[in-house]
Amino acid sequence: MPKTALAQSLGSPSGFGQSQFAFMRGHAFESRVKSDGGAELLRLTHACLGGGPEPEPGSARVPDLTAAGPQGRVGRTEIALREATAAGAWTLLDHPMLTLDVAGTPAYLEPDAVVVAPDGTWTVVEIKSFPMIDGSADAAKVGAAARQSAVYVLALEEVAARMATGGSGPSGSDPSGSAARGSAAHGSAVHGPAADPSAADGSTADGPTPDESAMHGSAADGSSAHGPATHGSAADGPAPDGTVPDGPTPDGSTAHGPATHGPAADGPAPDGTVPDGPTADGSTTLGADTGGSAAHGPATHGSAADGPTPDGTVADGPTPGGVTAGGGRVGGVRQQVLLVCPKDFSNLPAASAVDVRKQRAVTRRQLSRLTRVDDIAATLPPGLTFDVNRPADELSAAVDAVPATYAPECLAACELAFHCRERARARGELTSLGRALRADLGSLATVEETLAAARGEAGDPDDPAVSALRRAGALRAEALAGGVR
Amino acid sequence: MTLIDNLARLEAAASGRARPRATVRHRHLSERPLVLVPLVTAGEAGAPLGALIGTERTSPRLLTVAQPRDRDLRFAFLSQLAEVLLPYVESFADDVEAAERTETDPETGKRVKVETELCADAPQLIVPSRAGVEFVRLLGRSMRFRRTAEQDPDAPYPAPPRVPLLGRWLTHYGERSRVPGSALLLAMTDLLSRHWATGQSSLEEQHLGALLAWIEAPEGTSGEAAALRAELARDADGQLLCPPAGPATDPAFDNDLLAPAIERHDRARSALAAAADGVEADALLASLAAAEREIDALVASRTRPTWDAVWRGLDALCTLPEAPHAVDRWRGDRWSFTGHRDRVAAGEPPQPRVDDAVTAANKLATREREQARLEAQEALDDPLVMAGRRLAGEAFAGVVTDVVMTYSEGRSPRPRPLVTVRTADRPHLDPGVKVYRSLEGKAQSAQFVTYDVEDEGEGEDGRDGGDGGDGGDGRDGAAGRGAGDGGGSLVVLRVLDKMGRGKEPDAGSVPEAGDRLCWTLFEHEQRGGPKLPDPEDTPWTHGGPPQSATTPSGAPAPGESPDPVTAEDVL
Repeated sequence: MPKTALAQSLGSPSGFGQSQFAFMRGHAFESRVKSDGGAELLRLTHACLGGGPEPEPGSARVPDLTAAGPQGRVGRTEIALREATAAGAWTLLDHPMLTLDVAGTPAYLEPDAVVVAPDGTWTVVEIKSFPMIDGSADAAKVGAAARQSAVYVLALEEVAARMATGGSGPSGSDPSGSAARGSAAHGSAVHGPAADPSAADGSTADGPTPDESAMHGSAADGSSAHGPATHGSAADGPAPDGTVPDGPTPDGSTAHGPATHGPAADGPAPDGTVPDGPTADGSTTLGADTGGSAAHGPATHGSAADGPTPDGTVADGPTPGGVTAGGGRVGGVRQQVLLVCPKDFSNLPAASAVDVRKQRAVTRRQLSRLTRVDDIAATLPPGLTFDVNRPADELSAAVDAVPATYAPECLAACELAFHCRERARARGELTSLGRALRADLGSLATVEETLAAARGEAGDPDDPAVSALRRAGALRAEALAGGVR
Repeated sequence: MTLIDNLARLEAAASGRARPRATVRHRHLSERPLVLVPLVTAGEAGAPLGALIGTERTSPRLLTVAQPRDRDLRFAFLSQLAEVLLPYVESFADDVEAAERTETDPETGKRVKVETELCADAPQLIVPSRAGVEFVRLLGRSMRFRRTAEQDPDAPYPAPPRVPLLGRWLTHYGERSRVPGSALLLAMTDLLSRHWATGQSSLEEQHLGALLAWIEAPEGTSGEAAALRAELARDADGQLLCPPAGPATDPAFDNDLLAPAIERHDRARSALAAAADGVEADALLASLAAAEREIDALVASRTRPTWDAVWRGLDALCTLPEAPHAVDRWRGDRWSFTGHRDRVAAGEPPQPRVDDAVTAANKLATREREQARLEAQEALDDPLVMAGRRLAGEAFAGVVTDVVMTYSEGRSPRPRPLVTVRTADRPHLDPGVKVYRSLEGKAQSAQFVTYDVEDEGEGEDGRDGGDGGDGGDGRDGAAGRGAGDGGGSLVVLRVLDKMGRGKEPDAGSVPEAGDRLCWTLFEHEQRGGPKLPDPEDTPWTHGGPPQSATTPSGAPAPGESPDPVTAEDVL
């Protein structure tokens, strides 16, 4: 579904766009990294992650992955992966095509590259054009890249599982490519690579402020920057099934608070294969710029804001799919991705291994919780259409038929966010002012209701949220009237 | 965000206009701040596109980079920036006052007072948004390791003379801005959202235009509508009416206006380079100048609205009286400025890329201490902030109902009066907890003894009387009842200090019945943490002494060597 066009037709166009400068720069950097048969990229992979003998320049295999249509490319990619693994040589898959089942429909994903090492491990490579300065990069951006890569890791694991069980060819369960773009609500998850549920860039949201998170450096970002985006995607994905709870759920708050702070909370490694905390490796490779102790920072500022994550990051149960092997990889798919960025202010590539076990677990859990598109479609009135050529009010009614839970984080991720925001504000929803605020107010859901409760006109005085509000209202009025110091 | 702040946000959302979050201005604002509105090129690691800079509201200086990929043009920009910024910074360096500083005497190891000088004022840099603060840091990082032709004649791309120095200053400012409550480098969005709550989420408050629209909305108009216009409205050509505060630009601007202009500039330049003779070159030079003017105009059109918005923000902030403690914190900023001035004058090398363990721990300790100090001082300065602490049970206000003089036991008895305070607040008091009140700017401490029991009916009367007495309208009484806790409680405190040396307490040092006081459970002044070793004595557990400390002077330490330059650096 063309959400940008839909937003335009609704009269709330999205503010997304890419500057051609950024586009050109991104492309120039990526082609530079991959130039020369991927020699530089393979050298960086080997330096960061090992995986066999050092690659000799010019010896790497770079199979041709072109094919007709996305399914064809998926099939081609799987064959190339199989051959590369069997060959036991350094192989660079340039822009392979993967598929992942999202809410019952396949979504096609295109990582920047996948490297197959001689020891048979597969590594997702993500090439970004934000700089890595003195070994650390913008925490929010690294977090977003890690979430994006985690989706690719999941998709690769499915390929690995199919290969292990002797399945041949791609999943084949693809009714039609366009099904992915069907009637699927605003759940961004249904929208191809750009919309992989974790690609929500909302990490600059309510959580730690950018400079704070920059202070704790990129090591911590895996967890800290991760918070808001987790909610971001949790909300726009599974909204229709009503699972986005009011306020902090028991697991949400326990899992998330500590998560900002370190690996402990996730200790029960989601897929049971990983012995140590998820951020352990990350922190050694990407040093925080105020030294190791900087990871302490978020404890004072960040975690409070992150607390009320509606959706816990605790993954439930062992992974159903992946064939598990020890040593931080599942079925040959490495759980660390290689992030390649320009070094300092130059065009030279610098690479760092980013551990995505946590992001992968979160994404897996969210995907497993998504309501199937068919089920969503079944709840909608028949004849509903999102044809962008329909009049605005008709379209608006159609969009409203699909429930959406707007939160400010959506602004960074979804083309329809302005439309949803308008709706949420018109209804006076508290969440439009931020999730943290909403979580503080218990059962109260709208601005009017809350203000009435604060004035003592409504609400149950025995409700702790209401009584606290009344005291807050009285104290605020007293202070504004010139109270005591 | 406390519940009180959330309530302010809700009130703003309901009324469509910003609501106060503070009754005083919690940051010092200089008489003559330097405003900097930078723009960067998308996708390049902070390559500057242009900036408006200056101390005069009506006459900013416009600096542009006609082709952001051209190293020479970027260097020209940076050296122009240095031309504006460094004289401003240096104009504060010579005006000093005498001050004292405690230092450890190297021979005796004792703490002694040392006479030193402190700059009477410090330069203050104001940028539109938090991203602008990050950009200042980034610029500082990109410049401070550069080598000029004078420093290193063999440097492949020598930087203009004053650029490395500018980098050191911007780095210092960027670093200082991470200290809570500091005011050397401020982001206007942070300043405004500290003092006003709007009906938007904190994410949306990063937009300076929208934030200001909420705050400036005149009585009877909707700030929400104005904010929406500032955020989204576009003209017929699809350009935002209110350009973003930057440093990032709007993609539509990049693609539709800037890219064609830069292309025209590039064409004019290559045509000039290929010119055959002087006459032809003159004509081409004119066309190049025209192309440059066009880019200047474009950059000015995107930065000027933000420039004006920053100054309007300053106007709004100046309507609030400055908080008493803001001056104290500004003194800390002046120390910071003076310290860096001295380091530059002493010829110390630029700040290292990565701090050593001791420096990092010190910085972190400073930030934590300043955070606690800021929280305490803001509460003492501002009843609205204090209300949040009272709501959280970290402070309480009330009327003194009774004072009983008692004395400590011992050879020379000291006054330890018992003071009974009636409060509607619900502080988290345990026996023996210390509480503090401000007595002529100093903290007087007292110890919680017990809750006093009183007859229920009498309590109601007494409390109402107390509220009436101080001109309140009984609202906190209502709060007490609303809380379902049966009204106020009587707190008995034992005053411990600040009563003079004699047997009889000094006049005015003991509360009297009828006084209305505010006691806090948090300390008013923060103590320093344990002392850390010198960097040269860093224990091996923390990586041992830093490299630069162990190598004999002469060759630059690895942390300070210039960045390797390539033919296509972006900054």
